[in-house]
Amino acid sequence: MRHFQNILTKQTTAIAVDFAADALRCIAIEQAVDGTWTRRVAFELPAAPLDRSMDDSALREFSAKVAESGLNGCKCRVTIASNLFRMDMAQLPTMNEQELAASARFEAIGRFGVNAADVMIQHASLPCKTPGRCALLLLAVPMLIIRNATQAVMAAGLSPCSIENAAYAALHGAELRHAGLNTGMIAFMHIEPQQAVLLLMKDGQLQFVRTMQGDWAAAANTQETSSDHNTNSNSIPLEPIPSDSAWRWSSLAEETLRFLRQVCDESSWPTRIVVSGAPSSDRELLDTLKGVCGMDSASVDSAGWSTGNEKLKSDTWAAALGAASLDMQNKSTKKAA
Amino acid sequence: MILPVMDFLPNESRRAVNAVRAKRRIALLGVLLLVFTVGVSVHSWNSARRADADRAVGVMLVANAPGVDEMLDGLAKEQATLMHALRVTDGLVPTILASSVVATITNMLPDHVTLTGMRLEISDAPKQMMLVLNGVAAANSDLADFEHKLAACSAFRGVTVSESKVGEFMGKRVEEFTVSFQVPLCVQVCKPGTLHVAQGGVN
Repeated sequence: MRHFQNILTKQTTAIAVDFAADALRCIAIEQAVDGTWTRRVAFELPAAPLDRSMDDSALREFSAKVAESGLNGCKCRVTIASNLFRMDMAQLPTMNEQELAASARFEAIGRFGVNAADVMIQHASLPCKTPGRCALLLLAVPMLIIRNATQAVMAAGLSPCSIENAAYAALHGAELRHAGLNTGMIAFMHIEPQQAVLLLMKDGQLQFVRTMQGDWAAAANTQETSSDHNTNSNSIPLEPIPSDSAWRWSSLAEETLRFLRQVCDESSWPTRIVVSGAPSSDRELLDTLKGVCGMDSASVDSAGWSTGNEKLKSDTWAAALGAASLDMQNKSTKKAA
Repeated sequence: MILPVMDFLPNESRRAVNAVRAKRRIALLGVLLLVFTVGVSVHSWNSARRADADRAVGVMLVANAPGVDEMLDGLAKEQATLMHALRVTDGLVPTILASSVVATITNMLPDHVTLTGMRLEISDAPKQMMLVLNGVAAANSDLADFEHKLAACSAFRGVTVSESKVGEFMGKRVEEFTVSFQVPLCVQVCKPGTLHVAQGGVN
């Protein structure tokens, strides 16, 4: 009956499925009258590698969970771990949108060295100080990954309506739920088990992006993941220093510092760094970043973004909540209109 | 928004998702339509059966019930039978009894008048009772008094002293008389000893 209801009635629940490197997460949230997000469902399944089709037993388990949660037939947003994406920034001459899209695609194919038919490429325009030129953020992901994710979600009974990069989805969530992200120079870091994405923003506009490969799951003492899933062969992974102390985060903090030194001068140094992802609740990580980079550090605390029967344990839900928050924002905008 | 949503869902996947959703929706609507149609059909079938049953009962009632003409004929026959019986009764049983007439006359007799004879006949045309009274009175005034009383009674008509002569009765001088009059058969007895003519005249 719930299945029929989901098909026929207008959907009021925002649903997101996160194909993270350490787990497959699904969350369904509803917005209360006072604006708080209430979790209807939040479940975690073992990680589903997207370089191959989801195996039958995992798919059955996923389908059963979806059916049990009464989400059959619902639309959902899908996020994919950042390490499966290739991303870079480029500057191109100013041109119209159509030309820009074609040029961005051409540029991405050249930079990433991929076959055009095998990847899905997207771009976003960024502010550029150089006259007559425009800055672009280029992202590419293998079509195989997209197909496997889409098929898995559809086979589970959900209807995907968008697929996003997990780091950017977390950024969207943080933008909505974390105060002060739109003013001044702010660094935002989304840490996944195999990759950390650092985004630098000025007055609510993305300026620079940097990805940092590394076994951050080991540093965070979270679930062990295989480095085989790292598809970005052009980067050199950072090695966290094996230590039980805060020192284990030093390589990440130092790399962050190096990046900031490249793109910022003394006058435009970020005032703080906001961290999301599983290790963001680790006080030692925040202290290390603060000490090495010389700025305040804070966790987005995505576990506190929504209320529910069971409290979410860490910031691993930031990407899923961020993706779902887009629907929440759309619903709020429509309601206000 | 800091960064626009960068959607990597390919158009063909989006179309496939929409097609699946449309397929599910159409299948569901089809099932609902089927259920609705079956429901309406069953309801219509039941209604038709009930209407047929009601009509059959009505037809049966119409078939078994007597017609209006037959009922009127029956009533007319019954009325005719009753009328015939009434006519027979009228012919056989007079409405007034002779004893009532005699009692009335006796009640009217003055103190010094007595009757010595009486003849009572019933004639058919007109239907009336014809009476002839013979008697003696102590004096002529007593006879006149008796005659006045008879004439004053509305049930008695044509009161006539047909004969009056002086005679002797038990050694005394008396007036012997004969009085005749008629009594219609439609008179009614109001109370013992009195009569009056019924409304509506005489047949």
